Amino acid sequence: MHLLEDFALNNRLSAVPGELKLLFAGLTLLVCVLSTSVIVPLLIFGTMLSMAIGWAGIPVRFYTKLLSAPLSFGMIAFLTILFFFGTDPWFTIPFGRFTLIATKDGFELGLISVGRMFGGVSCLFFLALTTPIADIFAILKKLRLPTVFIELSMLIYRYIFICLEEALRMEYAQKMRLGYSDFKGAIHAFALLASNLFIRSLERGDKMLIAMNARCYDGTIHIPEENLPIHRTHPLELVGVIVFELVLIFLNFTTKGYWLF
Amino acid sequence: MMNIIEVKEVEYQYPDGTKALYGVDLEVNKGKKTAILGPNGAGKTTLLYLFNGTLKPSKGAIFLNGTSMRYDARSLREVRRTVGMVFQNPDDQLFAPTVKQDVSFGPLNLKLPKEEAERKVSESLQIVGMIGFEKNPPHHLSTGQKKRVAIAGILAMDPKILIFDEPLSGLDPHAQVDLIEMLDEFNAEGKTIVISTHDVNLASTWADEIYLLQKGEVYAAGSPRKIFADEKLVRETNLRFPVVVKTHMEFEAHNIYERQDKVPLTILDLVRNLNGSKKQESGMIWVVQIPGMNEGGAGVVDLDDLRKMLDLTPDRTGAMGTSAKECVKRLGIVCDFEHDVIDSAISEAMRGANVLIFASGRMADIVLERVGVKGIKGEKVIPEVKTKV
Repeated sequence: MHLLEDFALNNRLSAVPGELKLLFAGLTLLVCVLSTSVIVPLLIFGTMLSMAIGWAGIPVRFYTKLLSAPLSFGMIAFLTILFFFGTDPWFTIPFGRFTLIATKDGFELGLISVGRMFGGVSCLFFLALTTPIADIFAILKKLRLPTVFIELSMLIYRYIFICLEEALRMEYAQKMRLGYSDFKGAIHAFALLASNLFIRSLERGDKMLIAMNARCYDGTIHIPEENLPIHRTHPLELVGVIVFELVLIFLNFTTKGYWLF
Repeated sequence: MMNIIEVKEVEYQYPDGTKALYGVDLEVNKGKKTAILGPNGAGKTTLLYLFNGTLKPSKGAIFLNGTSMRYDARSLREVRRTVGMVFQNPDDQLFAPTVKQDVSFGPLNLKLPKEEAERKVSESLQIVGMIGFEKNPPHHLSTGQKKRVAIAGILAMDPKILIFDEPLSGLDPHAQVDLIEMLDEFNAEGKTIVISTHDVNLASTWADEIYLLQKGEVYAAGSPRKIFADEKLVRETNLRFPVVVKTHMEFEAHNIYERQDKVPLTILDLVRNLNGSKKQESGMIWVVQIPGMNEGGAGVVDLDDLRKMLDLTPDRTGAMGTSAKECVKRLGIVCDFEHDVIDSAISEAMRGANVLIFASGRMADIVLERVGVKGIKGEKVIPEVKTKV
């Protein structure tokens, strides 16, 4: 159930400081989204994919499974743009009483959008698969984000799993007694589950506050700070990341005029 | 003896009007193990919430170390520093994304310096045996492991009184035995322990003092022997007899042995009753005292010196307590018993075997005390401790 997190905790890049990974993924994501050439996002996708699989040691099977969701979404987006977002006709496909016209500029636009999407997704996958969430909270704190924001994220993160478990338990209990057997029943059962989950999470919240008060909670959650700033511990890697981003930007400009048509 | 917690005529009514406690009087003796025994809905948890100031009594007062509990923010802080509470469901207690962050929550709230907080965290994790899980999120742990982390979170604040709400709930038998031993170890190190439970077997074998809670009132109080000798009382409160007591009653009823003046609480007591006057040459019990976790643990023991102890040629060996078990592991000895050590050792000695027990800190004295009561020869051995470099 927690496969994604298991990988984040135990992979060959676990020891690399979170800041470095966040910086790498974040900057690359930015370059990817802003790129005007289709080459750069594809290059990013390739790099991130090979780093996650080859370097961090994420199984290919798991990665492709993760990728299947954005893949189907990407296909739909690509086809939509291809047929409906251009002006320069390319070829036509008869579709019942209608005729779909594929456009050349639509093809270019679709390719670049989907490319950016996959590039971006691969950046986020890289981060999600190699960096435990606690590291990210620690970085957010270092970045001086408002404590309220960080504390809320921490609590929400933990309670997602508690509520998920609770919801699953309830769902099993309902299915055991033949809930969800027809459409009407399913809606009814789901409504019960949702309202019950809401009440239970309120109760949980109450209990948690009592438990926190029992440990002298004073309104702020203090996060233990560790490790030195990365420009002191990993200067070479930091330079490497920056050089990589600069190369990508450079490539973007040199391949900008490269079009199929 | 001093009462570390004193509850005087306390009543409690929930804001919605339900009355949970009707005039409860109760005393917790310093350094003792107290069990609050009662069925579901008797008000056990409510009573525990009063101990650490989570709830304020509607009537009556609670005294901590002789002073009446006050409910302003500063006083409550002191109360909670003194009284640590472990919840029944560890999921209610663990809120942080990682084990380490959760355990350090208490020490950091106490504004301990960073290094000290860090030390407390790793010490507590060591005691509960969860070193190596620091970076794990709580939902990756089993219920038993979560419970251990929850306990570490409380230990890290170094409270004098530890309160456990239904400590065994949701644990498998192995984890239960581990937990009971952990409670005994904390107690041996000087902590006062209060638990709530509906498990008569646990209350009868573990507690020094039992408070029987029924419908928001203290129905009876006293030592396990006193409580479970009173058949009428047990029937009236819808409690069941512990397995050992029940067996004993059947033995008496069937004239398997004569009527006894003392109710047995452990299997060993039963065996003794059955053996009657049969005399046997009993063995010897050596107790090796390994420094407890607060005295440096297994790390400070001179292992070479300790090896010499093994020349004592015991027939059986056992280990109890975190540091003792650690020590045994370092010596590479496989123990014959790691649970229920004292009773197992006495049983072996009664049959003529010589037993060597490794015990952490003050637990060694407790072993000797118990061994002495049973009329078996016991001897304490203190191994050399490495001088600090």
